[in-house]
Amino acid sequence: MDVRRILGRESGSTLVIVALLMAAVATLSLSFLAVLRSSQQESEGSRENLSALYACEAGLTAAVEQLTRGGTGAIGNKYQPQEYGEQSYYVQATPMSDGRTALVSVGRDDDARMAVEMVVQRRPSGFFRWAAFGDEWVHMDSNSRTDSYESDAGTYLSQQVNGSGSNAHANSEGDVASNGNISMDSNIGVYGDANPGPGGVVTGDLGNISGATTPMPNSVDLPDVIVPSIPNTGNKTVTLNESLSSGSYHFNTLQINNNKTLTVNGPATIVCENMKLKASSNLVVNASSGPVEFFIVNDFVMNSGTTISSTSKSPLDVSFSLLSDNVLDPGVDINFDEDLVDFDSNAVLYGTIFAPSAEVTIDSNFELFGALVARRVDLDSNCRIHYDEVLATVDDGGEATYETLCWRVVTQP
Amino acid sequence: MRSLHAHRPGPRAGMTLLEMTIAGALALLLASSAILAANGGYGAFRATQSATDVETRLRRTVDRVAGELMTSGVEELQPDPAGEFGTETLLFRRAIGLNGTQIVWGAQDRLALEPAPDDADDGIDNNADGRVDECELVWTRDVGGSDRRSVLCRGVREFLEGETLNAQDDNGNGVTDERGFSVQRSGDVLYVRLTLEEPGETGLILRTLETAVRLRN
Repeated sequence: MDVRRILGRESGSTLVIVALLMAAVATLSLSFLAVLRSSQQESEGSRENLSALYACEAGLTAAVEQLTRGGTGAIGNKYQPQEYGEQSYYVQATPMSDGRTALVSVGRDDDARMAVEMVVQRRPSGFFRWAAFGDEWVHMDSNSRTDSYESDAGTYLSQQVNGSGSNAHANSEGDVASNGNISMDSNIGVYGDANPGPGGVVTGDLGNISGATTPMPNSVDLPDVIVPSIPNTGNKTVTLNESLSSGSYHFNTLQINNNKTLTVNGPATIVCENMKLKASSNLVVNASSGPVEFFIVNDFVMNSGTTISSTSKSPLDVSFSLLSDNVLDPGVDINFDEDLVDFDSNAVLYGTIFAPSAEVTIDSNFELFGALVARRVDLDSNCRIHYDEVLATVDDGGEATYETLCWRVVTQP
Repeated sequence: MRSLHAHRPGPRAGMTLLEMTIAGALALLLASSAILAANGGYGAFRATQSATDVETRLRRTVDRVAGELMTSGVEELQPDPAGEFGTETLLFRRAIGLNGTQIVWGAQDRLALEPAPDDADDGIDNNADGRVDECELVWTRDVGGSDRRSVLCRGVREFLEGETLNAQDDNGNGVTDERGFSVQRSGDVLYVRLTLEEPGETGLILRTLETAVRLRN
């Protein structure tokens, strides 16, 4: 009885020890939890920052997608952001010069916010994006030149303000490119880039290329020439100056005799099995109502001193699509009938030439205002190709694409 | 007749020694248990805290490096960290604006793995902290200009976890003989790797983190 009483009184000290022990364990546990919480908070903050960055990127992607569909690129605003799962974003778009747009995307996740600016520029969507493009190769003889100008900003001569003498040139968008290799003789002049195909090289005189010589990341697929189906009305020989009214024509052979002029009123589509401009003849296109498209099935000959142009001298007014084939493909071509494709010396052409099956040799002193795309391209000495930059902006029906010029983190607007 | 009450001992008489012995033994036992438990708990707590600290510093450093490199461009990296060796010293610029169609680049910065000041790169643990030739990641802003140096992270292992200097990719990550901080480029993607090594309660704490970041410019 007394022992129980005694022990009953001593139980107080055990309780104190147990309480102290529990306090120590509780303190340790709380400290441990505090450390874990701190680490978790930092981890959460880091995750939210990353998540806000992802929201920014999502906003930029959506803005560019909107631009490609003709929109402004602006999405939501500060007070009405676009919800994106547990995050949100809004994008401010500011149009700049030369088709550029500054997009500022602000992303948010909980308390974390981030803003990113991306400047994008619309890529030229026109098919003719080079002064000269050769599917298999491009070769430039000595003293041949490529440069560029803008046909809607005045004449070429008014823009030929750079350099002097044989190096006088206008702008520097006179690119040459190929899905294969590019070779240059001495003293050539490329005022623009010279881009070979993936795995291809540029050889020869590289010192006179003003732009880059890096290979293209991807090959360019050349479409087939689709010749319109128009009844053939036989041969037409222009022996006196005459005109063709707008419409559709199909000639067996269209020939313009020496020193004669054929004026074609657009819009018109003209299919020729063969077409020949004899020396010093002229083909004039009146494109005031629309352009003129030529489709050549076999031979195409521009003799020396000939001229093809529209009255406004815009390369957009005249286009030549050649089905002509002058390249023997062993094992493919049977009973090969080589077509004539001649661009003789001292001739002038304002327009575009597309000849995916032909090797096109531009003779010396030939002057092309526009663009040339062919299976093979050989530019003889002293010939000139002045690429019209307006061609790059022509909507060819494809989806607009944008390239990123600059990406950077900015302070929140 | 003697009263029982008259023979009853005093209130604590004869029991003091027993009480003291039992109470002392119990107190000693409980105190020992408490100290042992507290020590064990505190050790585990410190070990966890150290590991957490290393992991936090590791993540913070890698995130910082990735964030800085993100706004750079392939042509602004010197040396180009493409290839099987990568680099532990990288000069880079960040985009700060646009002039026409040309990016305006900021001052050149450098990320470099350098030997810790108190442990020279000699294969010896000079500072006797259990680590051999540990390094630190130094970020130098405006290289060639103000040259502002700051240590981004200390306790970086000389070589990445699992890697030794033998001209082989020991850890199978695609990089040969990479240092404790390594940047490697594949296309427009940079791989940033970092291994930290810190003395802990139960030995060295070794943690490695790898991230990939796409160059935006």
